[in-house]
Amino acid sequence: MNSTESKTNPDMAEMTDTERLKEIIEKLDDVPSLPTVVAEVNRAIRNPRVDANTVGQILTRDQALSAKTLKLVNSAFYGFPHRINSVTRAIIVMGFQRVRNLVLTASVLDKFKGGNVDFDFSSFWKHALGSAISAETLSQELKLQESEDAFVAGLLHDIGKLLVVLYAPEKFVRIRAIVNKKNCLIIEAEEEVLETTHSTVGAWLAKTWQFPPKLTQAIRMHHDPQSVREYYEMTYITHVADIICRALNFGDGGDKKIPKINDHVWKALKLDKNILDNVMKKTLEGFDKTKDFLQLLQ
Amino acid sequence: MRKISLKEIQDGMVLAQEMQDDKGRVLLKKGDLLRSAYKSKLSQWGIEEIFIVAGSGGLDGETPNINPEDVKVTTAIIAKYERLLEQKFCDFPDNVLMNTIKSVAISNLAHKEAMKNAGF
Ligand SMILES: [Fe+2]
Ligand SMILES: [Fe+2]
Repeated sequence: MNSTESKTNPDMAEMTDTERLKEIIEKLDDVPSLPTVVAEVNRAIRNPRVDANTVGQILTRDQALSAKTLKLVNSAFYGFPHRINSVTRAIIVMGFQRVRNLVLTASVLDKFKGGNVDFDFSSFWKHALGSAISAETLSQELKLQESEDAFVAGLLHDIGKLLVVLYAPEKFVRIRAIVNKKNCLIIEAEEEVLETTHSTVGAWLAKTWQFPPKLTQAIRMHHDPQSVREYYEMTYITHVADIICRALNFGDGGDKKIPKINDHVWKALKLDKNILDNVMKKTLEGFDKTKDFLQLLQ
Repeated sequence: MRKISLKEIQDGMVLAQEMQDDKGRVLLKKGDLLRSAYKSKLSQWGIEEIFIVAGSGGLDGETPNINPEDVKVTTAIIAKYERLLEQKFCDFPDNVLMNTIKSVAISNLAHKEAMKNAGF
């Protein structure tokens, strides 16, 4: 919070994140909660001795979500030679983290697939998917750990935009008008209308939904990666993935511009032209295989 | 990919391999369009032969038995993506990193479209 804000509203510092955000996004109370099994799966896999069967059983309690997860597991993107018929089998083949991430992906896509507003959800999710693939490819290329987590970070980095679209629709209309008029980045228009950005809004959702802290942090800091103090790798990857995805023209990032890459991030990740070339090539290939992800929106 | 001598360069040929000088600096990038005006510059750099994408530029007749490496990236395809990305990147005309991102994106997008056109 900057000093002018606290002067105009001295109570701000006392308020919780949620209360502060409610002043900006009027219908914040309407934001849905995630299916309960998501939190249960998260809790279960924190136990290092948990077995695939146990987690599989938890997941199967939500038949609809299990079916959607299996649809993603069996998508061309992963290209398994044979159909994987159970979530337990999926965990054995793909690991806990990746299946957990697909459960998260399936539930978020399901919650935010549309609404009674004038907004192109499909283009939004294409930008998200492109960023997800690019984030995962980038962390694989850089041989970072837990590259499967990068996928979800890329996928959900802009989720705050959807909260504005769905729960403060009049403000979103104003934001879009500014973007069109000034041909600026959406984040600049958000600052003007909301005095906050989709990064902050998205991080609130991530916290509320009890996402892993690494993911929450990447969402919060993807436009200001240099200020990050923990989980910097995931944040850096997400920052770069968003830019790569915009350069490759996948979907709609909310404006016709591209954010400038942070020099410090480029150096810290030791990026170069060859890495970028490989990542872009693989991202373009991967994006073609994500029809099943987009079908969850229908 | 085919090797040609400098004097064979024609407008619209596409470079198949990155070219570096002896210090490793990149002179021309893979996928760059060649112009016949480059001949003198290239010879100043001591270059005698270059590799071009088979079927690109003025040379025809030689239809490659399609090899993904040799897909024809036409001037028109590259120009299309240059135009598409121009506005997006217009805020940073002199930023080295953004220019790198832009050129790598253009070459990948153009290559993908050329592959698609060739039936891949
Ligand atoms: Fe963003
Ligand atoms: Fe984004």
